[in-house]
Parts: sequence; structure tokens; C-alpha cells
Amino acid sequence: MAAHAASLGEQADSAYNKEDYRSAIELYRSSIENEGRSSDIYYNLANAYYRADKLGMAVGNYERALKLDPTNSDARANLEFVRSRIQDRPEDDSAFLSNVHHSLLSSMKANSWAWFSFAMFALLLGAVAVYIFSTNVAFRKAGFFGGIVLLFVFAYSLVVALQSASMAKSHEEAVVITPSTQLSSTPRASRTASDKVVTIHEGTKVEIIDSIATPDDPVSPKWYNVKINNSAKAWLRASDVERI
Amino acid sequence: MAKKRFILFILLALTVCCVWAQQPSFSLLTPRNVVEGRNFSLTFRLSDGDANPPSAPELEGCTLLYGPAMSTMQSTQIINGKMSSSSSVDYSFTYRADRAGTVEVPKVSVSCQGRTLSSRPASFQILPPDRPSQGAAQGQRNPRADEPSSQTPGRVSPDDLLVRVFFSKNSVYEQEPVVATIKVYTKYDISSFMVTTQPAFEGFLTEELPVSLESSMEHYNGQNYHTAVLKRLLLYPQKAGKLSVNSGKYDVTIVQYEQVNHGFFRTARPVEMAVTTSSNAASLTVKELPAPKPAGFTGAVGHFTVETSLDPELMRTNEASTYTYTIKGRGNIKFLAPPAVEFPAGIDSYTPKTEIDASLIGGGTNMAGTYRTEYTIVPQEVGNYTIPGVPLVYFDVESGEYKTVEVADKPIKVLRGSSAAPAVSQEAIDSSIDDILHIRRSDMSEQVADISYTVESPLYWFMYILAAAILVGVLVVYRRNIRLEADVVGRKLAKAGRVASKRLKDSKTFMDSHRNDEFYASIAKALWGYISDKLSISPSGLTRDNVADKLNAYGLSGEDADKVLEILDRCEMARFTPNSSDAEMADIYAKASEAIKSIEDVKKR
Repeated sequence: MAAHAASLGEQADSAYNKEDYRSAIELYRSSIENEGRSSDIYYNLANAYYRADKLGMAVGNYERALKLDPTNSDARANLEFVRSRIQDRPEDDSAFLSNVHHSLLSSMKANSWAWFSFAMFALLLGAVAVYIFSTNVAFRKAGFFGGIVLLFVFAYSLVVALQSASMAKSHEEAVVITPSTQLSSTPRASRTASDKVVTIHEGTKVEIIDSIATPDDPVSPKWYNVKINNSAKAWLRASDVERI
Repeated sequence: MAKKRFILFILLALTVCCVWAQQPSFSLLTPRNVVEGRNFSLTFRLSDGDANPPSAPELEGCTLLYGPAMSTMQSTQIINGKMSSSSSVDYSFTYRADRAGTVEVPKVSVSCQGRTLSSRPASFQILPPDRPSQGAAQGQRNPRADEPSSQTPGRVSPDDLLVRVFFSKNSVYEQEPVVATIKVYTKYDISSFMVTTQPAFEGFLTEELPVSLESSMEHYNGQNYHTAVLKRLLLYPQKAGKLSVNSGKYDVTIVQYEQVNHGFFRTARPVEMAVTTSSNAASLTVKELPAPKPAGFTGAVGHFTVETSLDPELMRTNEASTYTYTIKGRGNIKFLAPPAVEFPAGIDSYTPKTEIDASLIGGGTNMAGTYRTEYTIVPQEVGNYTIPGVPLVYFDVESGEYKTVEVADKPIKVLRGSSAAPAVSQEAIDSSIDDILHIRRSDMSEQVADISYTVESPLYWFMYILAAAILVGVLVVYRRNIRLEADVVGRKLAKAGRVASKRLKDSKTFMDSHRNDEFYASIAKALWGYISDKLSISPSGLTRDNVADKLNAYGLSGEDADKVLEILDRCEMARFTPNSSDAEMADIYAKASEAIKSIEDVKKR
């Protein structure tokens, strides 16, 4: 190769640096399609969306970047920043233990957790071996209690590893990408004033529980049943959100 | 007494000398307008000189009635011991105004001490007489401004006292200067004039112009009036549209003359009268500046030039320089916006100081001057910078289009200054950045089409099973060892067997290769060697006869000892009977092995 051919991602980087954010978005997207996914490329795509004033897509792609690599600190910082710009304030639901769990979840990649839990398992076997084979009482005690502790650590880390992988794989979350959308109690556009609706705005994250095909609806052929802030359940148009 | 008179004479003579030393001058006292049919006088004044009276000038439409009449005036002043004196001679010519029109007074010259002094030419107007109004039909005469006897005390018509507001132009552009004049027109003398409501000039920026308090006569609406300018304003319209000025209100005290008949003669007695009047409401059409307004236009209308300067040119860090942006020209110079000069980063600038030096030109119809903005700048860093030139865009009323004065960029070089930087309060840097973080470099090698998760691979779970299996395997082996350790007899037997097979290793080799002689020899040798080792008896101390006793003493049963002897004997025998069969060799081998095992068992029992 005479000259290093710039990859789509690198072309997108230079478009971004030239403040041509629309081309950057296109190039990052085709890079993801053709060259594969990575946390950083989703992060860069999200930045380009933010610069192009599409907060919803920006939030969605920061979330994708964090799914692939929860330790991507830049993505986390920018997601916090963009979240502070969106209209709907996310509810802070977490209790202390849940917070600890979430921060642990985000402290390592899913695969790192898998290997960590295997290391814990190996140590657990070592402790069991010490307990069985040692003739020294002190060693046996250490092996016994250490083994119990390691059993818990192993079990927890395995849970985290499984959860982390399933979270990374799941596509059960979505972000509102239109400036605003209406939540209705039924999977159809509200027709009368008695249909209770709530308006949510661009950048708000929802959890998809169910979907239903609505071939009669002229606007959107599909509706999602979503949960917001782990509590309210409602329906919204599938075309108004982007699955993460 | 005579001496005193002499001194007085000297003083007088000196005074005369002083008077003669003054520069003579000759001028025409500005003639005032006059109404047709009236007599008027034209007066020339010769100051500090002596000459023959001038000849009467020919005035068109006027008839010379009399002249010149001379009046002399002399004055002497002593101020702080300094004496000054002046003298003047007025020459008056009386004319009658015959015909209305403008009268030009030509240059008039006199010869004074060998020099010719000339007056400046001047002009004045002969106004037509008042038109008779409707009042005349009713036998009432209109009062006349030039004739106090025509006045009737207590009777004032609204036409007799007017206050007018008028503009110098009817239609102007935004920001184009226009002069507004407030003038009073009266047929009577005025003893007091009070403004109760000033006309408000809304939508204008105003600049008051000086007014002369002199009154003159003017013909307006067919009537002659005494007029005086109350106020002159230079106005800058601020918005487009029809701008109007509301009427002002004035409390005026006029003086009318009552004719008093004293029998032989009549005199005029002044009678004062309070009158309230209001001015007319004037309006002005203001045209909007043509669109589109070019970028950088901030409302300058007129004609301007720009100069910039930097002092000192050589800049040093932490030493102040002054960048001056001077706009010169005519127009709304007082109401310009300060130029938006932006200094490059690394150069601190302070709030600019603006000085406006403007004066009236063209008889108060416009303003001209300079608008100077001074920026005090202090460079903080060494380096080369450029102060961007801010162009001035203005609207030229004469050509009706926008013009731009380009200002060149000013390159500057900042050297290191000697003075230390002033102590600055530290600022948090990151708090000022309010934006997302920059992108990371895209690396294709990190991108993967399918992301694999370790927990999903069977190999991962197999590793758990493997690790557990290893532990279990180790455990099983360990357990077996323990069990074997517990089974003493079996272990001893196994050990005895190992010893025997080790001792009989050579023999087995010979047996397998059918070498009979060597086989029997090695069996005997192995047995003798083994017993010797086992019983700790030197081989020389062992014989066919004592070996049974020794073995018995060691603890071996007689039967077993006999077996040992039998093997030894058969070995001796076989050496002399060749062609012994393989089966026999195997039998001997097995028996030797059993014998060794039985001896081994003795020890452990």
C-alpha cells in the first residue's frame, strides 16, 4: 500500500473537525455498518449528532457507546452533559445499594466481569483445596472462611457478568428522537380530549416492554408499550423513538 | 493754578493722540425690513476717523428724502487707570419705500486720511402693505405692526400673535439633519413671553442652535409682523414615517397703545394685556434608509473618513498602549455608535473612552467634527498580533447610497516588557468550558462486526467444569492414597513383591532369553545376595548348612526355610543338568519370588 487509505471512521473524524457534522454523521454510520462497531465510534457519532442539534440521537448513541464499554468515561461525561440539556428531567430513582450495583456494573466491561468471576472461582477452588489438604489448623480455617467469602464474591460477580452481558445485548431501551411525542393510554393517536396523554421530549429514555403492529394507523405502523422511570406504562409511536 | 491747567492741557493733548492712534472703520448698520410706503433711514457709521460725508446711494424702488444727517458720539473710559476712548459719526439718509421688493444697498466709500474705506453691500426687503381682511368690511381696521396708532386696546385677533414651528426641509432620510425653527410673529410689542408647554420633538435627537434675539419685520399671510426667533434646533430623525411636533403653549403679555387726546395733541399710552397662544403642529416626512442595510452599518449618516493610530507603536507586555479610532466628517457625528473593535486574545482591552468634538457648520444646518474612541490596551503575551480594522459603513445622503470606509488591519509586534505582570486572581479553567468533550480518534482495528460475550461461549463454562474436575481428580487421588496407607498388609505385600522382582530382574532377563546356565546362576546369586543383605550376614558367612538356621533365627518358619534350601539345591542341580525346560525355569523363578516375599513378610510382622 503506497498510502494508508483512510478508513471511513478517519474520514468522518476529519469531517467532524471541519465542522461538517452532517457528512460526519453519514460517514460514521457507514463505518459502523461496514467496519464494525466500537464504543469509540458510537461516541464520535453521538458527538456529531449533538453538534447537528439532534439531542435524541446523541443520547441514544452515547448509550450505545456505554453499552459496549461502560468504562468509556468521555461518553459518560458527554451523556451527563447532554442529559442536562434535554427538556424532561430523568427521575432519580436509585436507592443506595442499587447505586452501588450500578456503579459496579459500569466499572468494567461485561467480558472483564466474566474473567473476574472465573478468577474468583479459581480462588474459591484453591481455598477449598487448602481446606481439604492442609494439616495446619490455621490454614484450614483460613481456607474455610475465605472459601465462604469467595463463594459470595464469585456468585455476585457471575451475576454481574451475566447481567452486564445481557444489558449490552438487549435492545429493550429506546430514546425519543422527535422534538416531542405523546404517550397515550392506548396504542392509537388520541382522538378525544378524554384520552389521557402526556408529552415527552427529545432525549428521554424509555424501556420497551411490548410492541404491537397497527396497520390502520397512517402515521406509524407500530406502537411500543413503554415504561418510563420504571413506573409509568404507556404507548407511543415506534417511529418517534430510536432503539438503542 | 496755572500749572494745574497746563497739566490738564497736556493730558487732553495725550488723549487726542490716543484717539488718533485708533484704526478708523466705516460700515453700514444692517438695514431692517420696511413696509411699502413708509419712510426709513439708512445709517452709515464712521468710527475713529474723520472724513467727508458719503454721498447717498441709489436705492431701487426708494426715493431719497433727506440726508445725510450727522450725529457724533464720543466716549472715554478709564479702567484701572487705563484710558481708552472712541468716537463715531453716523450719517443717516432718509428714504421712502415706494415699491415692494428686495433692495440691494451698493458699496459706499469714504476717503479718510488718504485711505478709502468702504462699507459692505447689504440687502433688505420692502414688504408689501397688509392685505385688507374681512374686518375691513365691517369698518374695523386691522391693526398694523408698523403703526401703533392703528391698534385698539383690548382687542386682539388670533392673527395678531402667532408662534410658528417649521422645518428647513419637508422630507429627509433617517438621521439626516434638519433644522426646526420656532418663531414668534406679532403685531404688538411684547413685554413678557412665558413658555407653558414646549413643543415636544419626539422621535428626534435634538441639538439646540444659538439664536440672535434681534427682531425683524416679515410679511406672512398678507400681513406684516415683527418677528423674533425663539428657538432653533438641529434635529436628527430617529425613525422613519411622519414625525409630528405637537403644539407648544405660550403665555404672552402684549403691549398695545391707546391714543389719548389731550386737546391740542394726542399721545399714545401703553396698555398691557395677557394673551395665551399656541404654536402650530408641524410634521415632517422621514424616509427610511434604503434596504438592505449593509453589514456593519450602525446608523452613521453623512460623510465620514476614518483614521486609526496606535501610540506607542512598539508594544511591550504589561505596558499600556492607546489605539485610537477617529471618525471625521459631517453628519450625525454626535450620535454615532462606538466602533466594535475586537482585540486578539492575549491583549487585554479596557472600556473605551469616547470623545466627541463637533461644531455646527453651514449656518447651523449640519454638524461636523471628530468622534474619537480611545482603547487602552495592555498586551499580556509576547508575539505578533493583528488588530482587525473595523470598516465604517455610512449612508451618504447626497448620493443616496451606502459607502464603506475600509480600515486596514494593524499588525503589531509585542516585545517582552520590563514590568512584572500584576497579580491576578486565579480562575478555575474548567468551569468556563461548557461543551461536550471532543471526539476520540476512530480506530478501525478496534471495530468488530460481531461483539462476542465471554459468558456466552461454551468454552468459558467448560473452563469452570475443567477447574472443578481438576479439583475433584486431585481429591480422588488423594483419597486413594490415604486408603492405601490404611491397608498395611497389602502395602507390605506389594513392597515385598517389588523387592523380589527387583532382585530377580536379571534372572527374568535370562529366563526370557532361554539362557539356562546364566538363569540358575543368577537365581542363586540373587537369593544369596538377598539373604545376606536381609540378615546382615556377610556372604562369606553363609553356607548351605547354616542358612536354614539363620533364617529360622530371623523368624522364618521351617517350612519356608526348607523351600529356600530347595530352590538353592535345584539351582545347583540344574547347573549340571543341561536342557532343562522353560517350564522348570518359570517354576524356579516363581518359587524364588515367593521365597523372597515370605522373607520380606517376616521382617514386618
